[in-house]
Amino acid sequence: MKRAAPWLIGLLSVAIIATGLAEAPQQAPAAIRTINDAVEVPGGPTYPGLVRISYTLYLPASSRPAPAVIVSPGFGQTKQDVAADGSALARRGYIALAWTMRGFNPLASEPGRIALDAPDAEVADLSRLIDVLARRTDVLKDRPGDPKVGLMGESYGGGISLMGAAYDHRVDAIAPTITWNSLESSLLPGGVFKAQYAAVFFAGAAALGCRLFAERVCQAYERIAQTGQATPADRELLRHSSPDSVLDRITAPTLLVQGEQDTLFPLAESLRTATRLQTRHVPVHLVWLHGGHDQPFDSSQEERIRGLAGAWFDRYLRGRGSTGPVFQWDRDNSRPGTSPSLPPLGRLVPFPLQGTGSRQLSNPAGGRPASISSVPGAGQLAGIASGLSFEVPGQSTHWDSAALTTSRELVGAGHVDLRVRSTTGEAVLFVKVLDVSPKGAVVLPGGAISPVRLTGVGRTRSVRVTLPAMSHVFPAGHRIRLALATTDLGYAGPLRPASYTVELDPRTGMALPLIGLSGGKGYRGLGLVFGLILLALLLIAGWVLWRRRRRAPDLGDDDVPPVLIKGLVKSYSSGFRAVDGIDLVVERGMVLGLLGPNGAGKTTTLRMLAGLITPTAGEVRLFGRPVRSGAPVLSRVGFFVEGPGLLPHLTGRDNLRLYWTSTAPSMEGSFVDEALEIAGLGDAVDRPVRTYSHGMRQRLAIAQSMLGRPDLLVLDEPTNGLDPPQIKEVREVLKAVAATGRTVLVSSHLLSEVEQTCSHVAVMSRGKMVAQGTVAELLADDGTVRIEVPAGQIVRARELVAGLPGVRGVAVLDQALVVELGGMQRAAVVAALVQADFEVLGVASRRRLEDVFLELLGEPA
Amino acid sequence: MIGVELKRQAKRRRTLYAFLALLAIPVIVMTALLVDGGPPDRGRQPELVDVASASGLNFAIFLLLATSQFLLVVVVALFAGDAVASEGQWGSLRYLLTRPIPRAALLRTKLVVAGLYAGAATVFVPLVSLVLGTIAFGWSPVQTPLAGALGVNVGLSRLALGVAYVLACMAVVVALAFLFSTLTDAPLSAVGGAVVLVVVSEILDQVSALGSVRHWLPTHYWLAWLNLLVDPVDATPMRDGLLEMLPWIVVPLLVAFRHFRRKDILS
Repeated sequence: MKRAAPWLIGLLSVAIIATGLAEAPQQAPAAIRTINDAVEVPGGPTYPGLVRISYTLYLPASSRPAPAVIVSPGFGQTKQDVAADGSALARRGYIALAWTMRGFNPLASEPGRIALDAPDAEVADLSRLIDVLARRTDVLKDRPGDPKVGLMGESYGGGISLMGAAYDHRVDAIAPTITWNSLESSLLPGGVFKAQYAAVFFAGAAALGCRLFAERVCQAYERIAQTGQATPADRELLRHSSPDSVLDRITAPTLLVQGEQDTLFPLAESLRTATRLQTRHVPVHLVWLHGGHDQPFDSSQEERIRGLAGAWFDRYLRGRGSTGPVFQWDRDNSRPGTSPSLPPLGRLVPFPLQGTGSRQLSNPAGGRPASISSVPGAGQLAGIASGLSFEVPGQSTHWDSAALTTSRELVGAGHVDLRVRSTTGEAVLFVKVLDVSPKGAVVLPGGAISPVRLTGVGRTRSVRVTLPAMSHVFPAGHRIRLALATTDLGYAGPLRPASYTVELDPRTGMALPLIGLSGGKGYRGLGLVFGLILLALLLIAGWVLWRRRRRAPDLGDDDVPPVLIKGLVKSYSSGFRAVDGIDLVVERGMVLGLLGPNGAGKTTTLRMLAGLITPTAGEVRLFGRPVRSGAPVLSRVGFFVEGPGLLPHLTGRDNLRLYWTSTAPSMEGSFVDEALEIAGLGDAVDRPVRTYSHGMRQRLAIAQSMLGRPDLLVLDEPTNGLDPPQIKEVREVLKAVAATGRTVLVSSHLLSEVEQTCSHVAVMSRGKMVAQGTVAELLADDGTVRIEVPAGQIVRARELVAGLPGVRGVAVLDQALVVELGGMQRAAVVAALVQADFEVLGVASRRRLEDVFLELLGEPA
Repeated sequence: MIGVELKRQAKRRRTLYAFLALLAIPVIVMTALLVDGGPPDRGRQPELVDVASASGLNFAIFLLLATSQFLLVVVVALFAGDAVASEGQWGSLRYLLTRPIPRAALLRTKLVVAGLYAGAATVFVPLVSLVLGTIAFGWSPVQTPLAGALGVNVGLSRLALGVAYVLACMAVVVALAFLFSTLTDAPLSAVGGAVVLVVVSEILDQVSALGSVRHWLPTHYWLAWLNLLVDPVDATPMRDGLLEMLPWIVVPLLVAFRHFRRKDILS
């Protein structure tokens, strides 16, 4: 029916002539071969004798077995009209069979009669064609007698595709285009006869006296056309020719294409088929394209449909590739839309319309003059655009929405609740959804219209009318209009004059599945949460920017020792006591060396001094103030703890500057140049630190600790990991600092350094403080002697000496005994050893700090 | 202090590289779309990528979606996870902490700066994409796969709301990475930990057997902002998402501060 324009008679005659010439060999692209043939089938109840069905086979270039596709032409068409489809399929590698359906080849000897895709006529013919394919060796088979076959076709050919899939289980996939779900809902929507289109449809019946149609079809048409209503028998006949009645039998994957400009088989037809199939889990995809019976597809759309159908057959006949989205649709002036689900897109939500109260409408006698919503094939007439809408005053009424704030799209069908009363007890209403531009231009999208015949409305009755399915974008600023009319040129309404009272149901009104509708209540909840987050951000900003009220920072006292450590303990969860109750006082001006081997607890002590580690017990005071993280008194202390900690990507100078300004408001008082001078890096200060040697980093880090000329300098292992020349440099730095009279606490295990630079020494071992005093005091303590004996005798010699009265302690170091004398004379010890036959190789009397140190450590491990 | 910290981080190469990576993605995608702006592949659910070249706004929205799933997570985790841990690695943390500022203040500065960089990265992608996309594809209404067109003003405000929502999602990453950053001295562990957690959450979110437990995964609602592209906007998922993400932001940060204030600095 697709090309069945208003001038169907003409078309039919053209078709008849064309069919007469059809048997001539067809010009096909070189690679494709065509075979023309025919098969005789039983006429069935609608035609006496045999019917000759002629068909053309399009064979692909390759002779390998291929799946087949049967292409069925539209109403009034022959196999010649679908030659392009046949060739395209063959080029794609399918064996295509195009046929002329019964009744459309009247010049043939046995033409048959049109039975509207009836199971006992056209559907049976189709099965015979599948038999033909089953006998061919070049057609792939599911099993013997069951070829791999798909069906496609437009309009009447789409209808036979759906019917064929329902009645013949051998069909493996179908791609029907712009066809019907139910002939009843298409020709008698809402119980109102679609007179004009039906007249076009059946024009042949009038002109040729029903010669081309099966008798039962002819009779039914004449009855309906005369009364505008269908008898139960007529309905039964239409049902027989409707996929709707047999959808439950379809299992073949189905691709449905429907036209958006189609008032014969509107979008709702395809939607019903698709939805029913989907609920039964039959693979189904739906495509809504520009065009349709009112506005024939142009060649690019035809090409698109071939591409879609081809992909569908590739997927389901060959198991190749994949299919597109479940639903796609064309839009005006915009890209096509796609969706993983079938329409309606979006939930049905009540859509407010302005204007209340009841309206009066009249139905004129004879139903004329009539509103015009669409003219069949109007798209072909120059100057009359599809979607034109003309209303007769007094016979129509409407309600408008407010102007839309955003562009909104309607894809699918809504519904409206009406309250209707009629003076005759019967009413026919034509319900439309219109797009009204700000300038007042009215568009009826797709020409879609929902007629409804109401009976028993002598008293006011509520009725829900399903609105036409459509795909339309309502631009921002436009209004959505709900219009009711009592007449429509395309339909056979009641001829008796009547007066209707209609109103919108005030509670429910109209509901549309609009996408593009904003200002919903959901936004408010979101606004609240975003508001809360904004509030939280403001609070955080306040917290960040908030500063304590400026008070003079407590920088401690000057008349107390800069460092005071009392009973300091740090123990770890393992029970290990890294620092085990030490006391230490560093007075002003002291340069105190904290000596001890690795693991003695020096670093841990200094970290507690800096507030980096929390003591387990005891107390640390700097300038009389307890140390905690961030204590203001820390600004008087410069630290160098366990190696440098510099940012490798910054230059030496930037490291110092950003270190200082990370806590200070400006560079004022940083004495950064003085510090850099101490570091002695020369031009390297402006190179990134990552290019520095270890010694340079160490010097820069020491310089960093001197920023701001701290009153107390705490240096932990400043020479660790350096080579002798670098150690010398650091020593020079320490000397320079000491010369300024500042208090320095330096930990080291390099005794020479302490000996050379420190005034005082504190010695730690295994977490305990073992000695404390000036370097001179420790050196002056003449309590030990170093006695060398042969290596083999040293153990026994030690036992002997340890047993002597008056010896406080003895240790073995560097192949020598270190004896701590508790009042006993050095000579007496030597004498005792000699007496016991030990060979005394040497006795050292001069004390070095190293000896003292080792002595204090006790027995080395 | 915040200014100084911003400067300290700004000169780092990783900052530069991170932003370069974020710049490269829109450029690459734009080039790809310009070279082949053909119809979408068959057999795929319709996606934003199918309309990415419809307008500058479309392009920005698509890139926000494309990057917020992983690349942005990595970059944001980098900024936040690196914040404290890298100082620990360099050894500079102990020096910062011997300055007379409270630890909480230092951590606060670090958090704010990490947050600013993370936020800048999150805004950077759609902003750059919007500029590039507008140059390449024009300034026109947003095409969405489902809802038709949104006008430029509406589209722009939806994009802004989308960015705001993604910022909230990234705040979860910041909070997690920042917590890890205070727990370890290895920046890679902190960054990797946060990224792994996000990935694990996304994987668990696929396991339908977990049922409603999944609603408490930090990433469960990360795509909720896509609802802004549908009209009428169903804001419920976004609201739920924000409420659900809140504890994922607050709790790690509280733990981080609490832990860091008492932590023994051994690095």
